Amino acid sequence: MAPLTDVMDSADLAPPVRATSTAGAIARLIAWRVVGAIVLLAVISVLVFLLTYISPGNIIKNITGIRPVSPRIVAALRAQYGLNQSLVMQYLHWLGRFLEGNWGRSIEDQTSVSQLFSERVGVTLLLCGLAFAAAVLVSVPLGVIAAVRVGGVLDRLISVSSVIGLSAPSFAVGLILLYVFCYYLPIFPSSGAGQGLADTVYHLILPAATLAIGVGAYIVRLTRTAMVRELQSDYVSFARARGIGTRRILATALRNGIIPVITTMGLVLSFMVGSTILVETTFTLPGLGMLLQSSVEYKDFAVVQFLTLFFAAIIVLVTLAVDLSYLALSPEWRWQLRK
Amino acid sequence: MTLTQKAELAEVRADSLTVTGPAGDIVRGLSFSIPLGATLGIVGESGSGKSLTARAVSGLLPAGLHATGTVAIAGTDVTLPGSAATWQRLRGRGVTLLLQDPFTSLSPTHRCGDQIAWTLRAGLRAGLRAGLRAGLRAGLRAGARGSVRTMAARGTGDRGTGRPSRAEIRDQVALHLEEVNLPAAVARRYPGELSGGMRQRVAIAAALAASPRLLIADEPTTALDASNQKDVLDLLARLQAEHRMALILISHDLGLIRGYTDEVLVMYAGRVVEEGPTVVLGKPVHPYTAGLLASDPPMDRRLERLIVIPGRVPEPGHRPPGCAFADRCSMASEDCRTAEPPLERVADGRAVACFNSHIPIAVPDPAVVTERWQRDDSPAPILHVERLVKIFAGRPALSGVSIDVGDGESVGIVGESGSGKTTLARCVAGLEKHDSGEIVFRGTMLTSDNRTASQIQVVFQDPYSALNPKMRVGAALAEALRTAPVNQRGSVGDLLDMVGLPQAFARRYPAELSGGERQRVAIARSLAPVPELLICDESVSALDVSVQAQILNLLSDLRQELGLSLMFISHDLAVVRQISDAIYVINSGRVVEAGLTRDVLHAPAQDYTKRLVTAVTR
Amino acid sequence: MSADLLTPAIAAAPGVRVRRRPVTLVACLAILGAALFAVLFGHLLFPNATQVNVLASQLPPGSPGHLLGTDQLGRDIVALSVAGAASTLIGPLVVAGGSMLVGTFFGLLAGFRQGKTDFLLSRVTDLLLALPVVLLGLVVAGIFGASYWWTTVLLIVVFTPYDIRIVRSGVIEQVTKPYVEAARMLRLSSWRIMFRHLLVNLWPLERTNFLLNYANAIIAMSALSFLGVGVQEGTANWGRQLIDGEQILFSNPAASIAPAVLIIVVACAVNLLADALNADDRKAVRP
Repeated sequence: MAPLTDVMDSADLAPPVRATSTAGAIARLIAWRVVGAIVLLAVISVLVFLLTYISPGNIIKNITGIRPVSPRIVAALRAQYGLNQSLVMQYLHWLGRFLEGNWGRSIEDQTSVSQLFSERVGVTLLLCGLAFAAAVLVSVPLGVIAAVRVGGVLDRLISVSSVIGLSAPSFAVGLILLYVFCYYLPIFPSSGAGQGLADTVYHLILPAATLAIGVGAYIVRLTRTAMVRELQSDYVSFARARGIGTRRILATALRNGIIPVITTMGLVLSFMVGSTILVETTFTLPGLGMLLQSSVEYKDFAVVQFLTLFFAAIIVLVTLAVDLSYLALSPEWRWQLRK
Repeated sequence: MTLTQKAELAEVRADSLTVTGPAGDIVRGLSFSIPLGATLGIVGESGSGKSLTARAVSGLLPAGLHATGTVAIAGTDVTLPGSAATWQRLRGRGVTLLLQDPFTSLSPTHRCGDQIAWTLRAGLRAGLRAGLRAGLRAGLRAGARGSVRTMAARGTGDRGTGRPSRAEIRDQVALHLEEVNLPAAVARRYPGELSGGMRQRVAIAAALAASPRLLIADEPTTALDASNQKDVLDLLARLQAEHRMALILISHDLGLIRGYTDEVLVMYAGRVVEEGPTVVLGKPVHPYTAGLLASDPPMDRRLERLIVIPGRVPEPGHRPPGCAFADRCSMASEDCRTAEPPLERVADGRAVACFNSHIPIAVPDPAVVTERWQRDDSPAPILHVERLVKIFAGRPALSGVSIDVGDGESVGIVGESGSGKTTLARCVAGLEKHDSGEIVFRGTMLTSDNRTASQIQVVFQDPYSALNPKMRVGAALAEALRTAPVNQRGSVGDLLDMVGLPQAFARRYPAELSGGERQRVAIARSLAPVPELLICDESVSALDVSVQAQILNLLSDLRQELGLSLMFISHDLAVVRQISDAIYVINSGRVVEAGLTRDVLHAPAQDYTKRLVTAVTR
Repeated sequence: MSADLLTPAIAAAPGVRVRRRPVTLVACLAILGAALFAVLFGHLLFPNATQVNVLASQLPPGSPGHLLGTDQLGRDIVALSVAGAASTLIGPLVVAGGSMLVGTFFGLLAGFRQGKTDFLLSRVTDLLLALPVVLLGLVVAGIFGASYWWTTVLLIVVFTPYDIRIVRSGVIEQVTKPYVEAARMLRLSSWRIMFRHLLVNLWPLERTNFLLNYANAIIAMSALSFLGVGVQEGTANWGRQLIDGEQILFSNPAASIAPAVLIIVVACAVNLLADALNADDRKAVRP
């Protein structure tokens, strides 16, 4: 047998580029993402601003609503909104007011948008929070189980259920739940948000369940696909070959498989924002979604503009946060960056 | 489940191991025994069933495949397929399977040290359980009283807690890393931070952390560079001796098998065709073994033609009755096609499955080519590359490479992965844009605008993705022919003829072809526009030895017939020796040595080239 | 956890087929066939489905001649549901088809050309992806009072970014494969490579994506109808039936539950068809 010539090249140990460039590269990447998010928000804000101008009808009408207004008020409004100025200046003024927190007034009852917002944001946040927590707590384990039992009865059951969940629009599910749990088995209230935290949560159980079904179905599918791929990978075979326990292997696979699931959280949130409009409308919950729906119906521009921008900002910022957490979760990705 | 303790602890055995899939038997009637401390080599081409054998012996067959037979590992008998609980107990401390690709066999998001520690902990737990069981049994028999804890301690040799502390685990991990010649600091690294060779060492440390009695290494060095291969194999050999474990080394590489094993099994189409002490490989008795040995290109001389085994390996479910090799065998008689020859003992401890084992094999002695003594100093080479620089994301892949390819000359470009040889090929082909330097083809500087299909063509490495899966062979060739100059345009039939394929292949889809056949089609397609220079980018590396020889012969023939110039990119020095007149050795994006192939390989001047040459295992 | 938990996970290793009964496929095709029948002949079967019949008043399910009863305008629920198939299912078909065509074109371009084209398209895609479909549809179509077909066009615009992304990533995966590089070496034109070589290999991706988009478009358009956008009052449409029916949920649940179930069943059939075809495709791949 050949003599032992086991000499390790010490230069081999250190990958070509190390330490120094890591921080810089990550900072650059974060900076790029932040700049990208800001640009995206700026573009969206321009579009939202233009909504009043390109929508059919008189701008003043769009601002004041359908009630009759005196010429004096029209003149005041023209001055306030700077309608005689160039569009760019108008946009900058609008943006300035917006960033100051002066979001205008609802034409419906002249309450300020900020007041409307603060009255309703709680319900929406609680609804989304409950739904998200429920969806994640149930779906991730279900996705893992389906992946472990891939091709089996349990997998087919979970997979088909998730397809049904994905195919069921939240308003349709909501109506069915409403009928079953508010009329047929009257154990939940059919509308309103209730008083006090406990009562509110009680009122939110059905809407949250409705929202969670759609989101959960999506997460089940994502988790299952990712876990099936991970469980087929070589490192799982090698771990099994070394006699490592099932629990450890599942944890390892989940650690690698969860990365693609987390990166799609931006989409999940986007999905939730869309669904919350439908769910709140179905259950007549006084949240931001229903506010948006009714504002569109009444062409209440100030409210529509604010809410659109608010939702867009949330989605953009969460996507940004997700991208950055991806960075933290995937060491491999950090080296990619260095190369 | 059968699980009995046996007195005979010092060996690993398998009896009539058979793996059955949906299309029939994939591995049939395989038996072997290895004393602890010895190495068994299993050699075979793709489709021989060698990897499934490894998986069956470690209880890791993919579902849908079913194993029968028995396996005995250091006193534990398993009747295959064996229950999940049996394997869970046996794996780690009994048997461990080391996989081929170090880049995928470790979790990318866990530190190396943790992954070694998992094996340690699993081994300790299993030991604890085994100890408990043994202890209880002993305790019951002796009627002695003792706490469970002390019995557990006896099982693990631990200080009585059964659960080692973090620091103890860390020390153990450091020891295991030291064993594979890695510093303890590697424990804190993620696999992605390490080179391929280092990752495979970490994998070995992880595999051995539970001290298995049997280690199965499935192509452990195939994914590594030549210079790492030898180190890893030497390391495995040393650890095997130190741990006194049985080692099964699975490879397609005869040189490796010859250098590192005591016993050898030669597999063909799911059966053992020849077995015995490794030395018998020097005088093969089975025609397949002989063919395999003969088609392996030598590095010390250049052969006129390589010896080939004609045809292709039959797939499971399509194996002919009788001897599976009969269709490819020059000695086959009528008997061979009707009855399956049994594996029979013959002289010098070897067994052969061949009716003609008594007939000595006439090993053809291929003519050796007298190589040129000088490179042509033709005034205008067909290709002249001057100080080529290519930078990928701030890092130079090529830093000033200059090469020449003479008219009709075959030039080899060799180097390890990451050396820049493929980048060079891709720049010359125009698939990448170089950053500076010149590529002059027949006196004209090539830019992205003045290239034509009939200047340069490329044959790529992977035959499976080289052809559009949705296009028939005929359509693909016809498309390529339309790019040829009108007066030189051949026909699809001519092209198929040229690469030795029947005309009927024009109607086939790539999925219906074997790897070697696909590579022939790929060569035909590249020849359709009548190129003057053909670049072969690792074109034979993905093929089995016997098929590789066929393709190398085809390329030499075509070169002579068509007067082609060849730029042959490869990591395999022996292959380059067979096909190239001159050679450039590339490392870190620079040419480190150049000259006639024979001179460079016989008497390398540079250390890097010397390393490459001595690393060749055959 | 039992020790053998992981063994089946390796089952799906390449080349090992998971047996799949064609029950799902047959059921999906039957449902979609019935839906197609309703789309094509619904208006012939029930020409008066949308006619208001105040005299009949609202009847509960099981009333003679009205299996699922009538709504507050006296319209028969069964007739309304069959007649509503067309407006519920045709628009989404146009959305899925349109976004597939536009998405494939730009996706191919972005993936194959890369560079500036890719950058520009990716940023536009990012922009549209930052806003949920329902929100965008509600705000834009709602504010502009868009008609059915303008809403369809709007949804094509909103759906296209997903298609561009998927086709683009498919192209990027294929483009480095040797068969595409060989085509480049033959100096074939970009168009030929894109459409003759890449597109045929993207077909399974396109097909799946088309079906998923169709299911999503059915949901999205019904959602917009439910919010009162895109479909005029009085039109036979499942989404529209839902808002109208919600007001009488407790007196005639069938008025809203029937269209809700129909939407779920059809969307499910489309999604499951995509899955079933995908599984067949994997089987066809050489081990």
